[in-house]
Amino acid sequence: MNRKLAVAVMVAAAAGSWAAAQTQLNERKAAAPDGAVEISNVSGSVRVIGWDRGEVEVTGTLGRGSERLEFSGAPGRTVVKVILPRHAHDVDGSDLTVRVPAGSRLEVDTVSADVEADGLRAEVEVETVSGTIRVAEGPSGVRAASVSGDVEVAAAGPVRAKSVSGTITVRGASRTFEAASVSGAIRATVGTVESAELETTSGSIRFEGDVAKNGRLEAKTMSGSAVVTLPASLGAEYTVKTFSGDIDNELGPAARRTSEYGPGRELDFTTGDGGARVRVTSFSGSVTLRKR
Amino acid sequence: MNCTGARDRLDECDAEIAARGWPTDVETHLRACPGCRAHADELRALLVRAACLPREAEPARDLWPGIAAAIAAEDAPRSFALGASRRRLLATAAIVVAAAGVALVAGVRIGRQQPGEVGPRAVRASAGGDIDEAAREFERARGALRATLLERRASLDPRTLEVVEENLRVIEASAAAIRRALEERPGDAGLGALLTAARRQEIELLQQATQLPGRA
Repeated sequence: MNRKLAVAVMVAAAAGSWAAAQTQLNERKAAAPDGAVEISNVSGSVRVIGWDRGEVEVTGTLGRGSERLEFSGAPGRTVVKVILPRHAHDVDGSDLTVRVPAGSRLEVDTVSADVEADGLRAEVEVETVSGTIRVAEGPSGVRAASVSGDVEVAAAGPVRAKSVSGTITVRGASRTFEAASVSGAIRATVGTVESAELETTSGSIRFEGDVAKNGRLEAKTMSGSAVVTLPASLGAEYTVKTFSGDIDNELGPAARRTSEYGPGRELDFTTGDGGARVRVTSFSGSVTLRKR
Repeated sequence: MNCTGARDRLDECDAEIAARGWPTDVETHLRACPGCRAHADELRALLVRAACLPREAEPARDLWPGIAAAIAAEDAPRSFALGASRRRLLATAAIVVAAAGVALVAGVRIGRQQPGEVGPRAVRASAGGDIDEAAREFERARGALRATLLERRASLDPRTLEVVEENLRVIEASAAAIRRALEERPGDAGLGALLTAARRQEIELLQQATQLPGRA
């Protein structure tokens, strides 16, 4: 029993020392309702929440080994930046919660820190190396890029999402978006798009939504599969091509071979009044057109 | 005729046809379709510009040293700082890649003409020159960026580097497969577009990798 007690005391002491090594943050600064907020962090997390006050608030913890938090700028531009010592080793991540005026333009850069943004109305731009990105619906436009982290975006305005190997997920009411990856999958579950481009090298593509009259949907993959799900009632011109993959079509006629001897297949057909354009191109991946 | 058919027919036209007037059935479709009309107008402008290009021309100024210098300047390992300079560099290099892509696609399109159905010699000659120049530009950009990445290897996080290199191999494998397919189907515009996309992705990934923050 005494032994258990000793262990418990040691654990509590270690936890206390850990907590002491971290710096608690609680700072505020006046900010314009439509200003810019720039946030940089290396590891840990960044959570940005839009609110209706004319100030930026930073709470959370500055990781052990960090030099300081830079919290500067004029009301039109606020900078929140975790500063590390030069040649820093063994630095713990910083977890920041930043409340900003909901109309702020937001720029966030991290290395491995995960980024979440919620309750924002203006443009949001996030870049990270290995962190995940999640932007909740509301911004008038989103640009999000990661090397290996997953990207999940919902926006009312245009979206540009890129990841090298992470999965990209686009949701919400965005009528214009571009999503590109090398090996990461691309998933889009959206409303009615006017212009959507999905491009990957070896990742798979999955699109479910609708295309506006005179709108355009383009999906391009080299070796990944593409599944495009659209309403049967959509009036569109479809162009589907694959060099060596298969085409499975629930929305119209079967694909035909492009050559008597080669493996290629293609499919051109029109539904309804043909106002929208749907183009799916694959080199070796299979293409499936499904009815929603 | 639907839009797909009209655009396929347009793709088969050369500068001479574009200048003289589109085929009657295509023109009928264009009168009823603003989207294809805009496409046709763009194509005509491109073909006419291509036809006016000299067979060989030296650029007024070699842009590459400036781009290489910008890459070198950006290359120095540094503390975590991202911003406008990085975006400017990406934009500059993107212009190179976009130009290469346009030339490649245009080249493939013009390359679809069959012997005996050719347009003005100047079109074919200049397009060939553009393709060669675009390919050289791409190789130079790729070579410089790969060299920069090589120099920065030690400063990058090994796991990130592994992701980058694995994905560069994915792109290279795809590009090689598409090139082999193009040997079987020279002039296939779809394959040409896929190859251009693969090249663009490679350059973009290399740019991204060379701009990654170094380890602290």
